[in-house]
Amino acid sequence: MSDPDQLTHVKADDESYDVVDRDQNEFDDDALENSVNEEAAQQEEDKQNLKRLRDTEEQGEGGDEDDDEEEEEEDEDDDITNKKRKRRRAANQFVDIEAEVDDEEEDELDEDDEEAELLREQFISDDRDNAEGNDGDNQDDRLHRQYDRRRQEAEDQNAEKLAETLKQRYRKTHTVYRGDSATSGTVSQKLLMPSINDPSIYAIRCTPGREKELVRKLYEKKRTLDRLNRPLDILTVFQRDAFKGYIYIEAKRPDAIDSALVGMVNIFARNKLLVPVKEYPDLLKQVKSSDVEIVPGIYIRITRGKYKNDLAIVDNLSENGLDVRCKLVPRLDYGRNDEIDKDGKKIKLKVRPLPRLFNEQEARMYDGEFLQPGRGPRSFVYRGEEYNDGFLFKDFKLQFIQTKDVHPSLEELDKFQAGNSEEDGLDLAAIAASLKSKNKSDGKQSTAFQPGDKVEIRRGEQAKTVGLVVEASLNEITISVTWSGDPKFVNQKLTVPANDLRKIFNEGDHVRIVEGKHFDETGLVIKIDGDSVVLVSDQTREDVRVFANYLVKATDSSLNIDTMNSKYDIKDLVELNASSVGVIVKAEKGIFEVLTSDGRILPMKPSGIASKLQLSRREQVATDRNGFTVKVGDTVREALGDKKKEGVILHIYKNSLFIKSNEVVENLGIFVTNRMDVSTITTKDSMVSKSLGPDLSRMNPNLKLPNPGAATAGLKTRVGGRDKLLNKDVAVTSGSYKGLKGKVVETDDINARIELHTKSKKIKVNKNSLNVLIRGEAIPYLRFIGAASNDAPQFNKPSAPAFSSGGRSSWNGGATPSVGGGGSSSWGNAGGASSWGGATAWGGGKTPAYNGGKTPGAGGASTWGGSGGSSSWNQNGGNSTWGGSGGNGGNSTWGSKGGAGGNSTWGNNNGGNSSWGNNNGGNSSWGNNNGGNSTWGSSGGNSSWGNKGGRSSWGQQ
Amino acid sequence: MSSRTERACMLCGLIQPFKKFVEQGCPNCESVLHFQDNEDGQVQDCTSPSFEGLMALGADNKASWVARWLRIDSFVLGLYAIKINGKLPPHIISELEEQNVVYRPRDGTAED
Repeated sequence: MSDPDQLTHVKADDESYDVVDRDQNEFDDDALENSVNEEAAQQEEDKQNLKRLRDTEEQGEGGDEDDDEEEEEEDEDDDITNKKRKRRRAANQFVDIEAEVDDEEEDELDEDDEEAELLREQFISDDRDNAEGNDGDNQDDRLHRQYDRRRQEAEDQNAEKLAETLKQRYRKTHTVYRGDSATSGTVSQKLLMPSINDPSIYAIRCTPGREKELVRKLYEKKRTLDRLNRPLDILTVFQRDAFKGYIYIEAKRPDAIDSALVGMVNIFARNKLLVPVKEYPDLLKQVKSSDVEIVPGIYIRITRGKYKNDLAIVDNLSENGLDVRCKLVPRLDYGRNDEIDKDGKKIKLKVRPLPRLFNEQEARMYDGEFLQPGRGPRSFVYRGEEYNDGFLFKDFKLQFIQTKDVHPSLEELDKFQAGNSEEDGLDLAAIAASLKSKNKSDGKQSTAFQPGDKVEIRRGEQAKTVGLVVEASLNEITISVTWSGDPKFVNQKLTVPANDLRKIFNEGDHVRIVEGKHFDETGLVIKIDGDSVVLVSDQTREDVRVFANYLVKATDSSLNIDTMNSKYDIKDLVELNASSVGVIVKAEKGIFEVLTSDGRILPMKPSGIASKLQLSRREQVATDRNGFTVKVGDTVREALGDKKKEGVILHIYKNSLFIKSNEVVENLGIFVTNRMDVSTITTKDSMVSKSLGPDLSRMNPNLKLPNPGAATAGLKTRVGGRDKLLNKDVAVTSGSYKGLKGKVVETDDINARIELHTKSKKIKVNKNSLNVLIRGEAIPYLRFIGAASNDAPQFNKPSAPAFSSGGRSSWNGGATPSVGGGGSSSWGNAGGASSWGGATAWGGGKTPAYNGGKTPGAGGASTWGGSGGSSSWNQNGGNSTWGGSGGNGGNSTWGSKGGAGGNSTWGNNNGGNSSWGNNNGGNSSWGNNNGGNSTWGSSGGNSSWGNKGGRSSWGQQ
Repeated sequence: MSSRTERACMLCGLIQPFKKFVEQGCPNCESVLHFQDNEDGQVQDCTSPSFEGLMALGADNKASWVARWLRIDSFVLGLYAIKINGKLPPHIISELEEQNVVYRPRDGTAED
């Protein structure tokens, strides 16, 4: 537009717009507005501008942001349009007409419209040009009028109207918010409860973990099909994390779901479940009942990062509730353990430091450059994190904290206590809140209160009231008040939540811990400290601090042990250290009592026990004082001590025997003794009677023994020690197993248990029907053990001359074992009635050889009753003694020619008058008086042996 | 489907990537919350990265009981969260009140 007139107009217009332009500079709004309403009437615009000027001053930030956004959109074309606009803005007298144009319509103007407007404008200005041509002088006046009028109108506007316009304008920039508003009225959720008229919700099985993906896919599918005009008839699809493996589809008809799911993977359309209408709200619940509300003060755990699984206390919540400021015990090493690799980079230690309170000195010393003072006196900023009173205060994302199942332990809580000792006890309420869900699930809290417990109400109106529990249900406890600030409550019953109760104990009470780390320990209350109680554990003898509510009164001491988790068991042989071993005689929770090899009882924690000693039976061997081998399982008796305790060997360790006795009560009957102090009673493999000492009745040579076999057995076993037969190869000589060979594994008096070589079987056979195989040679049992039943010399068939001759003794043929030692030879059993020397050990354990190849009579060199001296022979009779009464058996000689031996008499029961070596000296007669025929000791000639009656077994002829 | 960057509008529950909130705002709440360009961290303040329960709202939202129950029956179609952790900042809430917009926290603390 090159028309000079036009230009002047423009100039004039510009002048008149000075105010506006200033506005524009100050408020971006104007630019926007102008550009949007390109053809809007100037006056209207100016009014608006003024309005806005005032308005923005009044409302401050209210609308700014929005405008800015809009403004930016328009910025780009500003440069271009500004000139245009200014030109177009030529003051127009007919502006009022256009002022009526609705903003809303303008918004929707498209380019065609704009062109049309331009044309129109052109037209109007032309019109005006003509006017101006006629009336140039009026122009100045007109401008003034215009300005005045504008100002006037602007003033006329009142504030409310302005506000409304503003709101109107803002609304129009976006879709109106269609959610609930105060004007549209809000509907309580109760009124939204579902009815049968509502669409159905179907639960559909799907692959767990794919729920969200499926919802998104279905959403895309639905949109695509909607666009293709083949809409799916489903309304909504949703998924909840709490219901894994399901997605839910809301639809009016079930077949709509089938068509929606066609071709989908990871979903099992067959498993369609109609959700009952009344469960709809639960499906969409926003809170899980188990959720713990996060409020400052509760305990939580951190689930990620360096402080994973650490306990923290909520200090504060961010405004939007997404960040939680937590107080925790920092894990810092102040960079001490960092290593620097080749490239000069720091390698942080993988192991996280132990939780310790922040230490200013250490931080300054090791990592001072990162330490800055914080806001308070005890507050620091170290490596960008804030430490207060030693605790770390850090923001954690809501997702990374765990509010459920926190279970703070007392140790952890103690750490938090450390910083602020001046504050009173632990905040049980907070712990209770943390434990809430736990208690709900298992109701453990309620078990802690039992009828009869003395409790105090901790908070609420009835605080400080003391009562006795009369009834305990899940979380409500009924108490009978025994003391209250208000006397009228006394003896009334109150129902109180379990969380509000605290148990009362007195010092000296014996209690059992029912929860926590010290579970099942018992102890004596020594101090009551608010909500916590200090007690001395019966088990560890240490102070334990627990919450009062974790205690119940107990009369017994704890015996329950966790045998499943314990490495050691009662009666185990354990090694305490390199030099001492012991046997566990008592096991309690966390503590063992160990009987050491030196006889002391030591309380030991499991950690104090080095290891369990696993010795094989072969290793656990020792010998007793008699030199016999003892093994585990053998029965031994103490030779010393006043009690002469006896018992079965449990363990053998070097010289110490751990013996379990049934007669001792203390220490589980286990006692320890030295191997040299015990003698074997029985060995494990031979089941021998415990009768001790010689069986005197069997020593009677004249006693008729009904069963020679039994006598044999009796003789044999008395010796103690192991049966010679054990582990020998034998062959069975009679019975159904005749001919079979085997090995003896176990013996008793009469029978032997044999493990057959031929088949894996153990049989029991009488010992007498065994042949012992030694180097391929089968030796009959009796001979093997020396009894030699058949081969033994027969006293009843003495070749009498042999005796009389003296030279070669037929007495005690070569095969006869020593009478005493073998102990099993029967003397003269073949003879009629009299047996000589039944069961007795003749002259003690080791009788000197009576045989010796030289006849006693002739040689006279052998003494009978040598060392023993005290052996009495033929006790029943009592009148005949042989070999002196005292220890000086040596005096009596047998077969001497009289002299000293004269004193000994040898007689049998019957007569009692037979003397051997009688007083006469050298003329000792053997046999009774009646006999007289038999003589023994040829030289004396006087001595007679054997009687007439033929009853004498010797010299009977 | 990177749900990492996704956030849910705390007023209407719509789930969008953070970027989209900044670039285009929330299709339901833009007129009252003005997310676009994220001035003063508006998106961070009024949307939450922590939400649970994904729900796809179709076009025929008026007929859906689920949408009504969640009070999103008048909103645009899209993906919504059933539970959203976090609350709008108080100054936003009071602004909403001035505009007669009822705000119900979607983190389960709403009572009615």
